[in-house]
Amino acid sequence: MELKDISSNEKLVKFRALYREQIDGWYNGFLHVFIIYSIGALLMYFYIAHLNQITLWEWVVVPITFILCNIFEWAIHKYVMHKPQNFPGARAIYSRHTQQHHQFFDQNEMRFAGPHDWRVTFFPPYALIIFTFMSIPGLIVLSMIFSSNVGWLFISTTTSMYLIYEFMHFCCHVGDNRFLRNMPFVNTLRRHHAAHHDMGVMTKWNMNLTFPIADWLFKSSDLKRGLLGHIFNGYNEEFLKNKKD
Amino acid sequence: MPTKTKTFLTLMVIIISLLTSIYEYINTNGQYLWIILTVMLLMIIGLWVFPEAKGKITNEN
Repeated sequence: MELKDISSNEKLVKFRALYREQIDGWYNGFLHVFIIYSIGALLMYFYIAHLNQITLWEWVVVPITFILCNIFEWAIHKYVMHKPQNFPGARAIYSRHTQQHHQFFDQNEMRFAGPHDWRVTFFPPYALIIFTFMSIPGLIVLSMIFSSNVGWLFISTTTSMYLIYEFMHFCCHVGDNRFLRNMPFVNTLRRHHAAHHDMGVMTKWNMNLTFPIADWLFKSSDLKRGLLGHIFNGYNEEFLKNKKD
Repeated sequence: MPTKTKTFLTLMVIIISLLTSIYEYINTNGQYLWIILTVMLLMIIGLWVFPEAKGKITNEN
């Protein structure tokens, strides 16, 4: 059940054992991922099937939505996942993230022991349902104001960002290998997210979980470098800020 | 997640799927109805079958 070479403190090992006891025995990480990505892939197929002769100006909605999603991800992480709020569901999100996910991994031990641990990182399938519901008004309004292509491109981008989020976050919690070390974006996020798991800085630094754009924009990154340097930083620790900054 | 919330979300999934099906039927003659129905089914399964960690887990436990 546990990693043989677990490299962290006793407190963390105890928490991991306790967490696993709380999950129903039939839980299957592969099934969890299958459900999320099946819904995601079918939704993407459905959206893309509705696109028709997209003009250049209609594509503009993609980068705009991408940036807004990146800021949304940053804000939810900073203000909901790390700060208890009072709106419905917020406490559960805070508990699941700060009191469970951050107790399960620290900056020295970021790895799952196996698929039975994936629940601690992948959102429950209802998160994708809620994010899809949240995107539907955007689809309708943009279709009415601009064109149906703009609406479908908008919702395609929001769903893609969610699926990318799950993939990138998963990649942060598996053992190191050549692919992860050398894959642009993934290697950047692995270092970025491992630094975020330091209990001392988790509420103020490295809030992005896909591409560290909002962290660069709002100066909440542990790096002192420009936007491109942030995005393609990889495992480089040359530009680290002082923790007291 | 409380059962009340799950029930509400399930109803929303069914209502939105039905509305989308009607829209699809009118606009594309139901070509993509199978996607809507499969997504609806997967969403309902995802809502009801995935186990939550029981109780509040903290390091003090």
